[in-house]
Amino acid sequence: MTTSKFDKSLLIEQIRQIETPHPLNCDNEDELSDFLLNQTFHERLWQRAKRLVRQHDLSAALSHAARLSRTIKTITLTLVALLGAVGTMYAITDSDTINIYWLLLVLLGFNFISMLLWLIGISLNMDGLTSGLFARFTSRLPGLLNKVNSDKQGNINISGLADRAWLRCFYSATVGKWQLSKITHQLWLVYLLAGLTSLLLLMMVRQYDFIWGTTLLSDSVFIQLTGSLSQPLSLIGFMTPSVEQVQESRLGVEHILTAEHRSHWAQFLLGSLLCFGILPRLLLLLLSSLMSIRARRLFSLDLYLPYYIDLRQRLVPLASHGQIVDADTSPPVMTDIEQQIPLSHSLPEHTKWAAIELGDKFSWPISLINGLNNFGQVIDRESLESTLQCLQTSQCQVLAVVVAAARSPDRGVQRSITSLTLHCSQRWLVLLQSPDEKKISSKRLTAWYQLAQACNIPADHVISLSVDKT
Amino acid sequence: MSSNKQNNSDFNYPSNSKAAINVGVVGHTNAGKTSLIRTLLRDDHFGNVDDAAGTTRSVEQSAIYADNEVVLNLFDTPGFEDSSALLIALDDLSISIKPNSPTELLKAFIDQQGRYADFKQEIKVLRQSLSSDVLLYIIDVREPLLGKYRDEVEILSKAGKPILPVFNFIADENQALNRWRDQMALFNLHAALEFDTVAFDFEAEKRLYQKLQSLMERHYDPLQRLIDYRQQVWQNLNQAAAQRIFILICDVACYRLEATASQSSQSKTIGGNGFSDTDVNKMQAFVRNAEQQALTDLLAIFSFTQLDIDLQQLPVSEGRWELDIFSPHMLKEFGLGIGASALSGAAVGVGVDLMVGGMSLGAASLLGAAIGGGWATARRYQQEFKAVWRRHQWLCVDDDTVSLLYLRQCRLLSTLSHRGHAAQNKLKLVDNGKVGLPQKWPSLLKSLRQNPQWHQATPDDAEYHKSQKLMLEWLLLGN
Repeated sequence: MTTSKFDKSLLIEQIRQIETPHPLNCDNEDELSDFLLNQTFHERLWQRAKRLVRQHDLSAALSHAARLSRTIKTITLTLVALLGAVGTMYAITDSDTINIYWLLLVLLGFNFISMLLWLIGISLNMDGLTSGLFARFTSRLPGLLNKVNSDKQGNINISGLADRAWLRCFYSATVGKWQLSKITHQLWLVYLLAGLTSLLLLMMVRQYDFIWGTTLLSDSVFIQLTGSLSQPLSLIGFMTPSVEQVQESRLGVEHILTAEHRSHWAQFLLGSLLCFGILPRLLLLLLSSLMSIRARRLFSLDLYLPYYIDLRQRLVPLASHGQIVDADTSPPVMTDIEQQIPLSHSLPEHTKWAAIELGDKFSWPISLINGLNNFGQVIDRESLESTLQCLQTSQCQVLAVVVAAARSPDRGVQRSITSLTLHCSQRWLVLLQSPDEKKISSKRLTAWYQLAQACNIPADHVISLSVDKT
Repeated sequence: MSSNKQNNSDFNYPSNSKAAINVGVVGHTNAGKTSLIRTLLRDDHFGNVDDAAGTTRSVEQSAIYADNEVVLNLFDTPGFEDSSALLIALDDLSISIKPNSPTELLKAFIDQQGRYADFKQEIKVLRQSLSSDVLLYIIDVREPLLGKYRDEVEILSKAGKPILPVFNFIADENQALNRWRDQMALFNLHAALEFDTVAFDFEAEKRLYQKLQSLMERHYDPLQRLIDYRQQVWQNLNQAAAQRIFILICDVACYRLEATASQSSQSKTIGGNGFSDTDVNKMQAFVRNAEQQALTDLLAIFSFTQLDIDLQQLPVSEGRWELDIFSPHMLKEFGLGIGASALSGAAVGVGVDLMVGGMSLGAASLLGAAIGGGWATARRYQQEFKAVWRRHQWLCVDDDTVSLLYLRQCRLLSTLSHRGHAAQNKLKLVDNGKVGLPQKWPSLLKSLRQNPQWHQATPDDAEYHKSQKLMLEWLLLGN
């Protein structure tokens, strides 16, 4: 048997209620998202919930509210049936007479008022009216259950949480409205059927006279009422009492009723119960059942709750995460570099200068460099080539290569420095910084020292120079 | 390419993996390639991000889904480090082998990789470029225009694949951005994208997919599905966050504590002088706890980790706000007037429900209450009747505190919905001074105050839904 969407949602909600204060560990949840590919998020939630139920043995806790509800419903239906039967018995004033209008009031009068209230409630969307006492009782249930299921600190146990979710799903919002309506109509139907059955049994085994009486109202009211009720009954074939027969049944009139007279009253009573009580209730029960089915079908989880947002991210990932497809087979061997702090240092007088990729933040040459000692700035292949030619021509022995300390050194910069300093006997690496620039990180400094080492520049030849930016 | 396929065979794709677009993410070392992928994947654990060259040394693949369909395969590649030398090497090889096409030259170079040990990182980039459908060339616009970048574009163009330049780190770099645009135009790369991996903006992500649509017409439909799906997911996150904020504000505004007569009778002024410390502390503890739970939920909705909190400089420490909501400084910071309570030195945040001397008229209209019957009305107002009978008052959270709470959540939401998953530099994203209360805030607050039954409940009530809708509009669409 396939599980309905509502039942799936109910299970998911119960698990949510439980997991909110007591997160449950779901084994192999990742597998679940792979296994349920092409499934909707709702379906994935349900599968996960089922897995949690199995894993944590939650079946009993989850079905507790349903079982309790069934028990309460059975007891209530029994009580209502007894009430209907007792109410009917009460209409028998003495051993062999039945008070007609009392019976109509007990069985149909209250039923009519209840139906009227229900209709007003359902039309004006007033929940309090649609479901009567039963709704009021159920609205109190969560609080009562919380008290029963909580410990001294007020923490609700798992069964209590599952019950709360069950009640919320079944007895709140639109589903609740129609569910309570359904139960209300069921109760009244049982009450009326019990009344009808008792009446039938009583009339089958004994011969009753039918009487009525009034103190405040006039006789014509009852005659008119009987006439109005009889009209539709006559149309569907019930025999109903005539005006004379109604008058003859008045309490105090000394007249022995004929068998035909009794039969007319009996048919009138049974017909009224069926047409004005049982049939409308049956139709309303049918309507409520259909609306309840529709409401359950339209029931949806509030997927905007943080709980579901989190689960969506876990069960319906937006992306798969990294998998190496072309691995680095020989990672670089990092040599330990003695951490030093580059200091300002005066260089030999005949030092030549070249800069590498200083960027727009520094103008080259910087002010302290004599134009003749400047071999330019390397910014591309052409400028590297021209600088190398200048170095070759001048047979430079002491070269200071200036770099922007804040920039990240790479293999290209390393190659440029190596080629520039290849034929120099003394090499310097100058880390250029601006006074308003924040101090470079130790990681970046280490990277420059590593580069210096790779270019055969001694660590004490790595110096810092502070100049204003352009 | 064959080696890629072999490696990918055990990769668990949902569906349509063969039709997915292979996107090579390339660029100079440290330009933000891994950061971009982290942001697109919403995963700050992807790859390694560091402020140093050569952090990524392998080609790493990940996939982006639209529901159950793989639309994009993203390939994170090592960065170029010495493109000038690589170009020289390619030119030399070209002279010796005389290839028929630039692609053939790259393939020959890769085949002879043993000869070019220095370029093993770059060879991975070349191999991936040849097997990709499109290349995202990531540019750190803060960098100067150097020859090596031109060389990189020249090398990549030999792969014969569409190249989409992606400008990263663009905040406050308009001039640099224009220079880079001009530079890319020299290579006929006119379609470019601004995508800041630090100051993430969903619209930029959407533009990325739209640019890919224009570059690859035959993949238009799956990319559109991806755009729609991502848009939906993004909206869901924001909606969930806004809904959570409404629940917080509703809980706090509707919260009431019945204060005992002996204390409350002493004073009726807002400020709480007449209330016992126990009552005030209880009320404040409730507010703190409610805000804490909301913070936890909001951080979870946007998958915010402690790293993100640190990077975005959120005033949150170990998952808790650093500054207490009842601190008078908070009112100042958010430009709210300091209430009488603070000025008088009384407990901050305490208000008295003065509406009808301790009895609030609920929003359920009198007519409705009357029709609903005496029982229902009595039940709705039973607490009020009891309070009047016992001469008690309701202690509630004052308007300033509720407003403050709302403003702090607005700022939080703004920060959470604008961060990248890749930030390496701390960045203050939200201008604190510009968050203001909506015009209809007082009427919403009044509505909440009048419905204490909404406290910690989700009623199926038209007025409740109307209030929720209004606040969600403010939070998601602006005041």
